[in-house]
Amino acid sequence: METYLKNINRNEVLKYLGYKGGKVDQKLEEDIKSCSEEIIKTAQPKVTYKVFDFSHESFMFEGTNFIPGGNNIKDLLKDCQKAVIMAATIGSEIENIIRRYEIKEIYRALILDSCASSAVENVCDNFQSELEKRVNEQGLFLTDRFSPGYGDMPFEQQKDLCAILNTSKTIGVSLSASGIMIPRKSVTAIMGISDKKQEKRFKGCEYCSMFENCSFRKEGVVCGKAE
Amino acid sequence: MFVEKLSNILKKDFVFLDGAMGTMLQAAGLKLGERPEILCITEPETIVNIHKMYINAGSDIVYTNTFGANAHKLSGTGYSTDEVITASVNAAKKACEGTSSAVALDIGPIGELLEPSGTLKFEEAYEIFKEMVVSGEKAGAEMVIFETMTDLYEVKAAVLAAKENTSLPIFVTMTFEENGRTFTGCTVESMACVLEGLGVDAVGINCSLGPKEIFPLAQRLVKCTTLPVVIKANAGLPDPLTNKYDITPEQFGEYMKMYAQIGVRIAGGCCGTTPDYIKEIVKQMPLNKGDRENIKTISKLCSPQKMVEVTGVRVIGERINPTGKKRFQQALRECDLNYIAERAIEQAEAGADILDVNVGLPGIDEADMMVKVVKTIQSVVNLPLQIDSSDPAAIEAGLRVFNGKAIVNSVNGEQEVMDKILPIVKKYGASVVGLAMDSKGIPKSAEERINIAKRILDNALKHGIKKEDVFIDCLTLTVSAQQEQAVETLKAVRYVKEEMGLHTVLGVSNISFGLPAREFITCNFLIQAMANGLDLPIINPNQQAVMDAVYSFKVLSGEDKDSEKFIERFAGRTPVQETASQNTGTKKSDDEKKGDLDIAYAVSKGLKEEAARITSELLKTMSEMDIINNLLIPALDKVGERYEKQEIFLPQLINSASASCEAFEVLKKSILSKGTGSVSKGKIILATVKGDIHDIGKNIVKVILENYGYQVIDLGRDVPIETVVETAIKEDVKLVGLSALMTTTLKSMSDTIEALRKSGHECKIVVGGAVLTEDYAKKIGADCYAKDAKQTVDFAKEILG
Repeated sequence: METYLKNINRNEVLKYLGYKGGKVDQKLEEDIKSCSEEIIKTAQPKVTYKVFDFSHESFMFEGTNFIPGGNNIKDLLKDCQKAVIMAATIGSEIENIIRRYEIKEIYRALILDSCASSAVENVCDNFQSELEKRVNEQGLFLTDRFSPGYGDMPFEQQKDLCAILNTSKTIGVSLSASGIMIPRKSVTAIMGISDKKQEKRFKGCEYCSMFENCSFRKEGVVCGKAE
Repeated sequence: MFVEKLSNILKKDFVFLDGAMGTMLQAAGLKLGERPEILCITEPETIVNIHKMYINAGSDIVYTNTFGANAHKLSGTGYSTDEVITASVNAAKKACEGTSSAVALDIGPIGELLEPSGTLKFEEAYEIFKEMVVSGEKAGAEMVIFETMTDLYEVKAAVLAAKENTSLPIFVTMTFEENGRTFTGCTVESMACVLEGLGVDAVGINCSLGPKEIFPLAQRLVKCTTLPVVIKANAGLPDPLTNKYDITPEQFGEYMKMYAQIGVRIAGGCCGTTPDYIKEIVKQMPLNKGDRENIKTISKLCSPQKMVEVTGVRVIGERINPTGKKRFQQALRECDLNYIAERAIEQAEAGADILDVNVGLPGIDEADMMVKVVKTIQSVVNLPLQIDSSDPAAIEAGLRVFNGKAIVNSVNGEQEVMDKILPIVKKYGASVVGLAMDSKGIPKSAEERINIAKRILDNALKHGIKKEDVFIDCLTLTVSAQQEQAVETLKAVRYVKEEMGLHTVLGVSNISFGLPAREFITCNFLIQAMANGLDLPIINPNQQAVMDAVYSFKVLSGEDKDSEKFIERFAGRTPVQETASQNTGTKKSDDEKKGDLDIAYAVSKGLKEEAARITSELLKTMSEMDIINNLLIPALDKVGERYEKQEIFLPQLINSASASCEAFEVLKKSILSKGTGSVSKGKIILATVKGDIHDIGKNIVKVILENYGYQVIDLGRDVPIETVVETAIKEDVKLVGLSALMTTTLKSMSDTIEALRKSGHECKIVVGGAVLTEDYAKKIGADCYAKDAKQTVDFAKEILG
């Protein structure tokens, strides 16, 4: 399947920038636009994925020793016959550019960083909808995308997902000693494949492990995973 | 005996390596995500058998099952690197018994990315590899192969570890994407350039792509190195659903014939290949034996991403140098690496091809500073560097941590100096500048300088440095003091270039010292020097006229084809004089119109140049502190208020702060030139805690704090706890700001606070970061939780005034 970055969502960028309503001045509009263009031009989007059978008793993914942690993900996979593990990144060059701007013009670094966050989400969304099309063609359905750190799934499982997909070799994503993905603008996630139509399960902030200290919630907005 | 075995193998027309280990193990039931290296201890027979199958298929060299047997990847498995490597080498040795095949210690990437993108230090990577190669040699491996590498910096650490701690021959193969770059952006050419310099025995490409996709990259590789080339391709491309590769053994062998044709003589297979593939390679490659092309010798410098071939004038930027620059000296003393990074970015954007790096200053540990500065510069620009020092320790320290092929500036004709520095140049595969002078000083005549140049070249060649890596500096003398010398310098340049066939370097700016309108003399001398054969002028690329001269010269020398770059540079540029008069015109009228209030306007709108210009104007009538206290800070306070009221938000706040920063820079320079103390209202440490690399939040806070006149000691990101504590004590800092952006690194924040408290050093601690809350901040013992930069400033005012 082709990997691509289509566009960067202006509203999402504004949200990352801490925007809470009111007028957005012309200069900022233009700067978001030019930063989005720069990110789209520089991004090296890559996705890798694998499809697994899993046991409904233990939830262990076949051919691995991996069992997803927490109840939310098990709930998501409850009616599924297969599961997909995916990882996506927009590459390391963007990190270099942002680092340069952090020295030269932190204002632009901030906007680029927000655009890059939105970009990697877009890569995931595009992959997900492509995959959904294929799955639907087979008369099957895809669940939501669920990442380590969402809900009660331990953030630390990111390490297992990276190891299973061998992300350092396949898409150039490795983990730092403290478990941060590098390049930073990267995502790992799990999706289920079912023969039944799936309702959207990820219902809101109250299901999220970040509930207490989410910076979006502190500001009275939501991260977007909770629609 | 073993070594003999290997050297016999390497004498053969073709050297056949093995195929995939992982593929064979997965077929035998290894689960995804499991560490295959452990099998050498738990099921050694399985591994021995796989090796034997490859040997039977014709492999002359088998790779041990130690790809990920490093301390980092083995942590948590209950096995040590030494145990796993010893068992693996033993398994391979057992399989090779009674055959002519040899054992290569196989080492893959550590699995954690190095600085600057990651947090693993170059020095830590070196230690990890050192442990592996020492174990491997002890256990009886006959050579070492570093494979599937994507980061040239990691490879450099690996190669140095092997060279300095073992006598094993070294092969390196890196993994590229179809665009000819690795994931970290390293090109085939840069890999070859750096590794040939470091003295590896063979270089090549493995994994990620099939033989068809790798072929164009191999064609590039054989054109840029004289080293033997190694190829280990995958069995085509994998299908993510079935994990099957799409090329048969026969097809694979067929492809490998193309490689044999271009002179590749060391080959095997990577992911998806099996003994059947090796059999085909062994069968088919010898059918098509070709020779390597002769390659042109070109002087090259590089970073992983950028190759600079000296095939014309290449500009060396001179601005990273404290000589005669008070502001730069201050930056070095305060270890203000950002200031230095800015100078690097500025010169790169102005068109420098190479950056000279000089950090020599009395009272500064030059070697230590060289490491910090080189690492900082290469984190923001990708130009090759020229390590500029006379201290062998500083030169070696700089070369060691530079990720690429550098120039050393410099040696001279003194035997003692050459004997000390040339071996270092050779060891790290650098180029070297030879100054045409010796213990007797700078000779007056061109002839004498040429003689010294010849002496330097001879010595360099004796140390194994290639001729194309020797550059000669015929020395620029100040024309106002020794007028007759300019001509002698030019004469020597021409001779060295034409008769000796070496590239030449000159520090150009020195020519005009002590004269008015220096730029005219500098440019005129530069142009004459280039016409006489100067290829590597050391100049200030920020001076427009100087770079204009270089661009113009390249048109006339024919290097700038169709004047393309020249046209690009001058498109839309109005003649110099006109612009100048227009500028003064607007300046005046603006000043008259808006008066002193301007600075507030410039800050609120984020107009950087305006802010700097107005500040310069204000300095004519006001003191630095008055400008700060009566104009800048009130202006910032106003912006801050609007931010709090949500009339503006973060980007606009930052923009205003950046404009104010420009004003501050003008004030700092003014104070330095008068020598009247500093603008600092007190020191504050800022650090993104150990393990965390999210730096933007901290950097925003830094900019704002600096705007309020605080001296920020920015310790960067992923800062070890000890560094925070030591700096706080050493610099007697009363306020420490810590940032963490991940739930996983909050622990590190808490530990840092605890260590600060335990040290007994009295200071207040302010914390911030997206996942932090007021409650949590209290719980871990912080004095203040700042939700944003503004609140940090408020707290700083409370503590430091």
